[in-house]
Amino acid sequence: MAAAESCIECDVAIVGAGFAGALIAHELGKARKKVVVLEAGDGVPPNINDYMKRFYMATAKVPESPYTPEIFDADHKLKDPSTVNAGRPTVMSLFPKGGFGDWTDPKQSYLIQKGPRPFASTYDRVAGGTSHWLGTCLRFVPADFKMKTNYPSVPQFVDWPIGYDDLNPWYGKAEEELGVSADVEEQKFLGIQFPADHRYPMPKIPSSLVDLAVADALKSLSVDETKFLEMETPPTQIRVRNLPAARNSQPYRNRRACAGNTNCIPICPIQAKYDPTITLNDATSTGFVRILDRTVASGIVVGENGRVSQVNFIQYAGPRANGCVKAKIYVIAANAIETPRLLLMSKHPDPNVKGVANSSDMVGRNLMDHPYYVAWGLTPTPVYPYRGPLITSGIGDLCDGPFRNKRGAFRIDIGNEGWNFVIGGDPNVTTLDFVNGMNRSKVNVGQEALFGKKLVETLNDKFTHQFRVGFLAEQTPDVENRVTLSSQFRDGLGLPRPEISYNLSDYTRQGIVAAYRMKNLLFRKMGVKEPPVEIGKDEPTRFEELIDDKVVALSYGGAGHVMGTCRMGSKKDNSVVNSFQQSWDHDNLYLVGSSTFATGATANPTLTLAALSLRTADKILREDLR
Amino acid sequence: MTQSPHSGPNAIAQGRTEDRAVGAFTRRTVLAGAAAATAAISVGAVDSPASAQSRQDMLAFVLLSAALTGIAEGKLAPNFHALPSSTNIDLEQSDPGSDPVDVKQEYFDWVNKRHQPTFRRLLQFAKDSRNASDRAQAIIDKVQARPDTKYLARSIVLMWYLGAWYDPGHLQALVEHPSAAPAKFEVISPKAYTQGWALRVAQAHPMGFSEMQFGYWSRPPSPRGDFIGN
Repeated sequence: MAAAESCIECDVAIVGAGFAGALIAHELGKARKKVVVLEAGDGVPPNINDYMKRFYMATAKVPESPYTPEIFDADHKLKDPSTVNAGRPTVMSLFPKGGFGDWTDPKQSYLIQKGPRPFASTYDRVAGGTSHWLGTCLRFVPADFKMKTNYPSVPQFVDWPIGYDDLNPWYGKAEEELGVSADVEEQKFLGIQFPADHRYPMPKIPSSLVDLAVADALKSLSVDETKFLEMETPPTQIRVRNLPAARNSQPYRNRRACAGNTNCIPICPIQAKYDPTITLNDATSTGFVRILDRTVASGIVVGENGRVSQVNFIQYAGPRANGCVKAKIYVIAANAIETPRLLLMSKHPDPNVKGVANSSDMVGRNLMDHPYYVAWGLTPTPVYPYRGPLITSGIGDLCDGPFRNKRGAFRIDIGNEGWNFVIGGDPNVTTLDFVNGMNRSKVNVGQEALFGKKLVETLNDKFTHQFRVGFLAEQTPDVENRVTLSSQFRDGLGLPRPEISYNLSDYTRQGIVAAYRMKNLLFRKMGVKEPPVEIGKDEPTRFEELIDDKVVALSYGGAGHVMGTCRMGSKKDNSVVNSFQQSWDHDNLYLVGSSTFATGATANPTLTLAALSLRTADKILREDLR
Repeated sequence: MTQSPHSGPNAIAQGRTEDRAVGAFTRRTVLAGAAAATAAISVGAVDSPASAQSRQDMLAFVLLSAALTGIAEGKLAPNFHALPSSTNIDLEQSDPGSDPVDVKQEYFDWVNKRHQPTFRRLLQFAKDSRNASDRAQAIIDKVQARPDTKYLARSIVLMWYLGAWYDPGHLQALVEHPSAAPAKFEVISPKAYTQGWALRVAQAHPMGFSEMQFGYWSRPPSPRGDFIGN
């Protein structure tokens, strides 16, 4: 441990340089407060060329592929996470037991997954790891903040200590900072309102031909067809809306308009999509913000007065070195797995309290995601996928209604990327099938091997008809879905790795069942034909449900929306932070990001966590650092 | 590219190497990042006397590739000119084309280094068929006759479509011993990835490499012929 006198001193110490950390650092830097940001991963490179090269060369172009640390070793095996200084989960370690990517194997998976089901979302270690986000910037619907009040029959639900109206102005500021393209009138649904004369910074991103095909299929429905949704009244039309996105529809803040690279995840090659490196650069340009990369916070020190007195860290850029930072205010902005991990690694002066900020015993609990159910098939007429941003539109109008007393909500997004990720990496899989006489795509039933004109005609026909839809399911906060510390497995710095217990509640699974029925309705209306896909019995995300007297096998993926492990609330005994994301236990400690979400809703969490972060920065400036 | 691949002692392209001059600074080369360096390495490694490539070989490679892929010669090799005509090709007169990206040279070298004898056979099929009434079919028929030429031809098609290398031996094993294991391949280079044809056949573009403008996705694409010439 470094001697106290050698600690770096500043006004505010921030752990984590992702969305929340970057936004807060920038706000404080603009106000001439001295800020030090500790970033566990590599620094922000001067340009994205290395990321792009890594992406191009990757055989599995998974969300993590452009970034560091490397996922694979020289032998093309997954790197042993015990050798990595700041590890990260990957979708490559979500495969069945016993083989490559065994989800339960700590030599292949950074997260120690205790099950019973895998936690399927991942995060990165550069600029907080959210460079690989899609850019979707939905607001929550008002009901999402009052789930206990609105749906009292669901015991897991709690209310947020703030509501939509409290966040409304902060949503607007976040939309400006991230640069969101959308149309105000189109975004008014399920009670979402905007201040008078409000405008998004840029016009909306146009719909794709895939979006238009879905909208056309759902414009006329019968009550019989939609009564299964159990909305207030069965809809006779389901509207497709363009998604608000932090993706430029015109030049904005020195970045160019989207060119439709169809690659938002894992990386936009022209940075038309916002990512936190943009705000980090603005923050450091204030002259008051310093970022220390390859610097891993290892402990939060609490003084006898109950206030945080310093944060200890390990630096691994060169020879490993310990250090510490002292500040007036501390902001932990890791993510909903790394933040509770750090809190639990830290020692509380009271031996009866496990970790820092944890007198409620809620730290690490209520881990949530949006379990992601996907389906795919071929349309009767071409929809021309692989064009435009990965997703341009979705269906949000089914996100709230009386059904929420019984089952989870879902939000639908419409893929513009054909079968790219759903069959293990198209265009490669289908191309290989028709060149080499195989049938892994399930659309080369005759196992034809083609050359020349026949090959061109066949592949054009298959690719231009590919359709993919996804359903983001609402997940209940469950206290046993939690992050703890592994007693056995450590990372390359000798710090305990996160251990994850995770399951889907019946309420959550029933939301996926409703999504399955919605898929059937949509495919029927569009005339989409599904290939005969079977979910392997050994697939760890597989589950079976009885639907209309038939056993149906379903599965889920991760949405990358890691939420809920430091929940906010209005009482100290059942929550970790207040509405300003300030620890109940230590008043100069803030825990920011989607870890503070009390419930998970169905919207992507980024805009909401950005709004909360700006609100927290304002509070720190107004009250704590006056 | 830092050296001419025609530098082998038996190269016969004297006086025409300027056709291959590279250096145009296009959006493609900028985006391809380290592609040029990667390509230079692969070229340098193969250009031994034993593998000397003639101008006729490159012409044959373009004809072969067009027949197998179904994509027009002029798309695979911009500025390709068959002379005196497309049905009466004089290998001495014709021009294999030049373009600043020039992925065909990288592919030629890649295959020549790994499977030279079979590759030579494939090139000869193209030369022999160059004036056939249905050139593409004549080449395809010859290629299909033997397993070694058939599977190498498939590897070459996948290379053009995906910018990736699937070894012919592995392709044969995938067919003869079906399993659920993922197919093995490697991406040839960043440049190769960005020049893949699979999604251009789909009237789109390689993911992460759009040469189109904002909003194009809200309109139907141009006809397939605009993308691949066929």
